[in-house]
Amino acid sequence: MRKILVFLTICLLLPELSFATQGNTEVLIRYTPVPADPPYQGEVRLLRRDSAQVVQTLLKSKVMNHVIAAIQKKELKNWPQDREGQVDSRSYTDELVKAYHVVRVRAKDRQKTRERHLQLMIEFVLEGERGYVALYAPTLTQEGDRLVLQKKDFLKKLPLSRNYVQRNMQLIIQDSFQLEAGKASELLQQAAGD
Amino acid sequence: MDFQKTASATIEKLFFRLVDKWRWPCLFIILIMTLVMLFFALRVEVESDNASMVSADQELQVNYDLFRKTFGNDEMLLLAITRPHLLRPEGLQIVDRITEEISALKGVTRVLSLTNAVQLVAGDFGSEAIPLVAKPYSEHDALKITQALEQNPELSQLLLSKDRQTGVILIDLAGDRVQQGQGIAAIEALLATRFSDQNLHLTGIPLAKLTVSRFIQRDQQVIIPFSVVILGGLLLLMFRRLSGLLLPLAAMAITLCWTIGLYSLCGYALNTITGLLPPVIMVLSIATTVHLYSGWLQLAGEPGEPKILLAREMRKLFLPCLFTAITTALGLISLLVSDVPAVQLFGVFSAVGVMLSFVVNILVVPSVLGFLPIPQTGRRLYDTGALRGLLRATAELTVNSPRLVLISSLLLAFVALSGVGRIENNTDLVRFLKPGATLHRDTMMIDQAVGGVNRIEFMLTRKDGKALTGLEDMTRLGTLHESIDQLQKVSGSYSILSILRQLNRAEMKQKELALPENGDDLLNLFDLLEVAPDQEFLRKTISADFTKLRLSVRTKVIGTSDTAKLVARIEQLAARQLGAGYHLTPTGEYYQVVADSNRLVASVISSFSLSLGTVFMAISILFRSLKLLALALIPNLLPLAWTAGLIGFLGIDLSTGTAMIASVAIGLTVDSTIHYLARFQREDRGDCKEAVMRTTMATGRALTISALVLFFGFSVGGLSSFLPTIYFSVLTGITMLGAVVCDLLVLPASLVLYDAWHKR
Repeated sequence: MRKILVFLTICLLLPELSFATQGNTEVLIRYTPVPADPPYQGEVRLLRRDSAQVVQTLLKSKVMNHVIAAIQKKELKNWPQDREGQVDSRSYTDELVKAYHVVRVRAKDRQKTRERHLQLMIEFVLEGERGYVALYAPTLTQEGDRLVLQKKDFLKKLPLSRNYVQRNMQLIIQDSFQLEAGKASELLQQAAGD
Repeated sequence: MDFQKTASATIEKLFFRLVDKWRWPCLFIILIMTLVMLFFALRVEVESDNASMVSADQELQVNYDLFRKTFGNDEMLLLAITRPHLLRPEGLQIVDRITEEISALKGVTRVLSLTNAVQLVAGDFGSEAIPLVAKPYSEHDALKITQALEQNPELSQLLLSKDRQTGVILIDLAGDRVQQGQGIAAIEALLATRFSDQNLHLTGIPLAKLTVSRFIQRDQQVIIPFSVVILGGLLLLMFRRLSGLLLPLAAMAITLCWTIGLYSLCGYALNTITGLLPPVIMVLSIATTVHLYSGWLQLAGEPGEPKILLAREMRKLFLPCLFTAITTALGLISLLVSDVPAVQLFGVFSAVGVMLSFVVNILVVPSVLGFLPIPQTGRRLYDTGALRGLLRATAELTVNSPRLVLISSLLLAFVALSGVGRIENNTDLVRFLKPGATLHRDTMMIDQAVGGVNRIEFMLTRKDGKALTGLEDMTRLGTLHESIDQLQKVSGSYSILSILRQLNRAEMKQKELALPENGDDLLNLFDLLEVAPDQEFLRKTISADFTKLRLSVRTKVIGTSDTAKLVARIEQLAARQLGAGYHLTPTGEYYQVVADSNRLVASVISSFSLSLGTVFMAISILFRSLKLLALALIPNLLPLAWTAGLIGFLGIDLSTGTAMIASVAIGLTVDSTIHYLARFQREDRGDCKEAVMRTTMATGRALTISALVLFFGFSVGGLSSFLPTIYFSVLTGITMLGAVVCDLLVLPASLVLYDAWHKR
């Protein structure tokens, strides 16, 4: 009986966990280091992963607390108190802060190395009618200005409203690739394979 | 002896040919050469960056190059605006307008003022940079502004006077000299046109350099014509003949054209020191002509063929004139010992000028005089008057009371030497200028208002080459800052420490400015600095890899000597408080000027001994008599001792100008001695007293006139815009008067005393 329960649970969770294990059919549409001017604190990538559109943000920074603070500031600006999606935004930033603390604690444990960078990966994913944010503790290496993802440890998946996720993806693209709203939308559509 | 006779006969023969057949071609060639050199002389440029005043000291230059490479250009202007209520909205609006308009000018790289300075404060998401004084300016924000200023003492000390009525705008200029010049000119024009109703004061090392360049041009335009007028008037008064006026002036003009033309042709531009070349060459050239022309005047009433008489007289004067030119040139060439290019150039080209002057005089004067009849009434006109009476009295005094003359002059020298101890080696860039000069006035005003306009820069590194990011590094630096700030003449010190304290206060949401308590938090601050938006500003305080740190010490307007002492004191403090693991290297634009000025003075003093040696070696070759050499020393050293005493008693500092007096003067004072001794040798037929009487009467006039020419000629330099040039000119002129007094009193008295002692 117990085995059946475990099997059923796995079956139920499998679609939810699939995002953490998939990635074999990823197509990189576009990428850019962020912020626009060095010193770069990470890289934003627009991907098509099977049928899903993904805006992946790889962060590698010595001042991760300030990077998180900058994201929080943008979220507050984009999702003010009276706007729909504000609750999603709050959930996202809360989880982001938690994820930051996790990577910080992990980094402190291996502080024997002189590496002072913290690493974090945020993915905004649109998959059919579903939208979610996934947070990871990645292992990134640097190759010139580019970051190479060697490994990722899953931290959290946060199902959020499709509208919130889509809007935020567009805003991230707009901001990172320095595009107008229309162009950002076109680019996002490109990731959808349309 | 035969050789001497043969040489003498050959010289006389050559002079005869010159005045007889060669005078036309000779004068024609000289005219053509003069026109060619005039073309180049008129194109001589004026140095705008004082580059030739920078010594060839490799270590100093390497340090400064590294400093500039790491922290950028440190040449900065300070613009002060004074208003009774500067912090009120209308005052701040003016500061803001000036700041923005200057920022937009070409050649200006950065402007920092009360209205664009930022402070670091605690925000919801860590530290935030916000304006020190936020717009729009309003009367209600007065308290806020006061609080912001109090919370940022280092920034407010930098940008505001204690009475809060004077605001300082710091203007960074481009490193490129041309752009820098354009930037300064544009700022001056902007202030004169758009803000002429404001109480503004502008200063800074780049402006000082530009001002020096402008004053050199102005001095050339004033001093040269004035020298011509003064010397012309003097010649007319002394000789009372048109030829006596025109001939020396012509020889002077030719020499000047040749020397300055050659200087220009070699690609050099005039600087503070070589700006003295034209007046010095004019004076030196005239001195030679005076001797030749006086010799010709003394032919009045002589029987014989005029051309032969002229050639004979020129032959007599040839060797003394050659040797006086050589000794003067040797005195000047000794300035090559200096490693400051400007002084070397002055030494070389003034020596070249003296030798050219000899060549010009020896060719032009006989050639022109060959056209004139021997003066018939010249002797009478020339001989009569007070001068003759004075010379007779002088000669009788030296013959009758030689001991009195010698003892009095030595006593005077001892008194003077007691004043030498008061002389201090000190060059002050601002006080170089007259108190009425705008830059002088503005600098002193800003200095008084904000307590310091000069900045001595230091570069701090760890000896192990590691980054200066440790808590211990910063704690030690903090202690050093405290000690430096307590030093007299220091109005404040600034480094990255100030930013780190502000950042820590904002990050930790503290009230006090302090460093973090642990190394990890300090490293976090450095991490933040790495990603701070204004990297350009941060690079002015610390290198990108944090291994080199800039420490700026703001000082009041003090001279180079005091600055050098201050630097030494700071280095002592650093050795004690930082420990052995660090290097603190003094550098920067201002320190360069200080070090160069001090080295310049030291090297010029050392060149004096060389000058003295070579000049007296030349005398011994000429007279081949140890007795005359020993006797020549006294009248040449005494005037220098008197002048040195005068400098001490008047409280004049030993600077670039005054330090050159001895080297230049020794070559000139010895000229009169040579002329006197050369004549004395000819007149000495066993009776020393009689020889002294005849020599003083014969050479005294020419010596007095040439001394007066030198005195007045040099004194024209008193019209200069630079105090060292004024001191140099006037004091060298006074030394020339002292020299003629010694040559007509001390030298004859010494000769008489020596003769009496020798006979006993």
